[in-house]
Amino acid sequence: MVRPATAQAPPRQDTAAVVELRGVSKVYGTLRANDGISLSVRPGEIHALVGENGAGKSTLMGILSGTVRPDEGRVVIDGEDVTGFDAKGAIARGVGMVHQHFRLVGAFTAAQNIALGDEPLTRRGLLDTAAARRRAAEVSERFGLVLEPDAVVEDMSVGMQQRVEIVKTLTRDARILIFDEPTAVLTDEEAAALFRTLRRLRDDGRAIVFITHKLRDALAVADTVSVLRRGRLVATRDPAATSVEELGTLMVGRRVGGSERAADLVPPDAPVRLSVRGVTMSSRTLHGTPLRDVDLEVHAGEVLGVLGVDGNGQPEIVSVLTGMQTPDAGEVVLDGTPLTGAGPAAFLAAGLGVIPADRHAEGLVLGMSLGRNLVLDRRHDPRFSWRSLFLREREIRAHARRMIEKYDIRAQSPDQLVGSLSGGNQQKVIVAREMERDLTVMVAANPTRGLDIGSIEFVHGRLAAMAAAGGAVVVVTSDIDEAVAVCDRIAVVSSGVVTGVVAAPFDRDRIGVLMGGD
Amino acid sequence: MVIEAQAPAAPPRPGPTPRRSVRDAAAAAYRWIGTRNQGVVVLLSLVTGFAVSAVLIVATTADIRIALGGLFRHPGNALAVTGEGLWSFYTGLFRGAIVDPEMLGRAFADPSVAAWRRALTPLGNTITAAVPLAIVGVGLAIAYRSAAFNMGAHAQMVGGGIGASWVAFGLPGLPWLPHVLLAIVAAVVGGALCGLLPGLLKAVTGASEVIVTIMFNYVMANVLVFLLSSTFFRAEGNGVANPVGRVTPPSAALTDLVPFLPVNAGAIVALLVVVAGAVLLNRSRLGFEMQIAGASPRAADVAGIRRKVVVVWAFVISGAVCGIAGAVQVLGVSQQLQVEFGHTIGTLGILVAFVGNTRPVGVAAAALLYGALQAGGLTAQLDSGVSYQLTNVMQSLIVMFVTAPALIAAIYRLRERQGASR
Repeated sequence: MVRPATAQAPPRQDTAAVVELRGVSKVYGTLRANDGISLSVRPGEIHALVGENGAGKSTLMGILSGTVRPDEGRVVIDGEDVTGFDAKGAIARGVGMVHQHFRLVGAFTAAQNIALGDEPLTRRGLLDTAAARRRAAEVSERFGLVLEPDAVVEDMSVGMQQRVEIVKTLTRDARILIFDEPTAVLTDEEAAALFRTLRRLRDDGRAIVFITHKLRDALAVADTVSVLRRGRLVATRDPAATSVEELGTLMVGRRVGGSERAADLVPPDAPVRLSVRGVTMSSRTLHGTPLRDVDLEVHAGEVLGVLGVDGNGQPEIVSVLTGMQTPDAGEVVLDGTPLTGAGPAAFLAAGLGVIPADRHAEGLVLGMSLGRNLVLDRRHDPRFSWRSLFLREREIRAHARRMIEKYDIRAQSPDQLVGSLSGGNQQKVIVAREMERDLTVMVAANPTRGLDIGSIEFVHGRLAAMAAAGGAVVVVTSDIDEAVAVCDRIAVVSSGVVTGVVAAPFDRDRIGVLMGGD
Repeated sequence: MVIEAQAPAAPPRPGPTPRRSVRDAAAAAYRWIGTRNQGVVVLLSLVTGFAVSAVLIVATTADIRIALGGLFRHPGNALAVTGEGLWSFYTGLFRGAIVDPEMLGRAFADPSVAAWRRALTPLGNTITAAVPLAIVGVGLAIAYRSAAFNMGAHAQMVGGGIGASWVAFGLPGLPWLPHVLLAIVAAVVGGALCGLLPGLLKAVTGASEVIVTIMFNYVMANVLVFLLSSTFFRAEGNGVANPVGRVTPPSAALTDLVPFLPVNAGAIVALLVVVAGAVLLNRSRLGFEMQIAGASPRAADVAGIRRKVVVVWAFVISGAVCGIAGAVQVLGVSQQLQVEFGHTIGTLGILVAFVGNTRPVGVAAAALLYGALQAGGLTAQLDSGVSYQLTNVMQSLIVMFVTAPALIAAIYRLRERQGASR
């Protein structure tokens, strides 16, 4: 493994790069997640990587931190070819990761979390808690990262938890620090504090890779900005010589041709089917995004997109639109009836159809038969149950056979477990179940995630057909191509705020800027 | 495994059809045995449990140990004693649980009701032991399929037993069938109440139902002791030091179904419970909702199921069914309440529910298996000199193996089922 650096590369200009990727590619099936990426980071540099979901950021990060093995290309650290090293090897070489979803134990204190995985021991082989606290205090002081070693992590603010995670990597002597979407969960003040920390680390001579989709954050703190799109590194810019607009265009790209919906399909006087006004909701989960003053309106015959990079409040918006959660403020009106706080059953009864984001956990019961899954939310329908007491098994089977036919579900029989179907066919089961109900509004969350092209076209076709028949459709997605392909209007969200609503024909540059938080 | 490679490749050659179908059936049976499913796992767990127990029997039985000590001086004797010990143990198990061939022979030679009854007593013992286990097992299975981890069968049996006993001795003079039915209804109410409380606590406060129901077992056990110390419940002639409840009068007793088989009408009750449990889980709207909520809480939310209501129902129904087991015991078997009433069955019921894979029919089969081991264990001990505790160890081993299907699958190299996720 050890090879003199001279054998590989000619000496670089000014400071030698501490990390270098040379033509790195990673292929998953038919998807080129990373495609010939070359990139170098010098010590004392903050290098921002920006890109949409699926642009290849996570894969690249995995390659740098040793969890993903590249199919082609080289990874060079300190002039030494380390291609194919594992996570342990990466840590040994001084690579440290600060994850978006912190790898912390909530019930432990800051000092315990920092010690975890590299615990100092006393001579008797017991945990040396004093040494652990000392080490945490030492490092946090050195970098001005004030934290309370004995505070329990789950009681801390998100910004403080992130600080613990940073200190943890620093105690491992990380010289190359990778930050994965570090500002996604932070307030503005916390983000400003993080930027100060990043600069301090840079001035200390560490190399920093800052992965984000927020263009302003990248411009605010980075020394170099690289843009990823569809697995390729499309540009590297000096922040002083570029703008949010240019980066937005580079990030989103342009698709030639395309199947955008024609503008003005929706008559301007079409009635509003679903509206959300002034919805504000604090985060209900550890990694959730709070919503601030969200307004949305969907008309009959319209497909409205809710578009944003993952982790900007989409699950929260879906849960409000479907009645799963009651917002702290604001109201939800379905077809003229205020339904705020009425609960999901009332929303379903009022004619709302849902294609949930997580088809395995929310859309289907995998251990049940196809037939049962097709009537999951039609238990009181007299067609399928006798006085809501007993199920009409024969009707359920016959219905399943019709759906198999009509929606081209590849299944052997109505009794087949839905868990044994392919992802595309599982999604068809959900689409079939929802579409067959008498709907006024459909809320579809990431309806084509993980599907093959044929299934994607099928689902899009069904959503468009529903709108054409006078229904209202909301497509919540993080895929700009999907939004542009099926929507009449797109509401762009960032950090739980609707940053803008655009109508077809779409200006991708503008959408890119809105997704980046403006 | 060899069959699997051959079967699809076999060309459809002309020939006598019956032979082919027999071979196909054999191949299908072989494939079934080679696949990992609950039936096969239970079967192989039984085999494994028996095999491991054999080792334990050899190691713990004094006669066998002594004989084996002389293995090199008298090898014939050592092996004969070992073989005889094991043989008498396992045949004793059979004779105690199913039928004694000798008695059966006598019943055939000199048929009379008494002779037949004697011959069928082992089978009767098995069924009698299985009846409450099956009822409790179905009750718990209903809860477990709804992800309501009811550990309180003991308490709910006590609740049911108190209700049934009260109606039984408190309303003398009623005719037989109405009296029995009324007692069972009282048991349903008592058991349901004992299920309602933990259900509400879980739904309303989010309390852990496991802890609540376990604690509730102690509460009800002591409520029972308190009641038995009262003059109202305690049978006359028994002191407070050793209290037992008042005896069920004949008008409320579950009597034997037929004179030649010592099994009481509780067996009919168990049968009805199994059928009702299967209908609830497989055919009813409520059972559908309970299972959606149990298998996938988030999918249940999306489908508009009010999970809190469903979980309360699961607990109430589960408790009511366990209460019926209390009635069956107090009306048919013990005929009165005692201090430890429901303790053993309430605990074993949990195992039976899991061994039966929480399917009512499977639970009934598991209960019969358990009843057989219990009934057979006593005879096996008497016949072979192996200690009774060993039959308990054997039962526990079998349950352990059933609950570790991965272990059984590894030992016997079972194939995974296609698309298996239950």
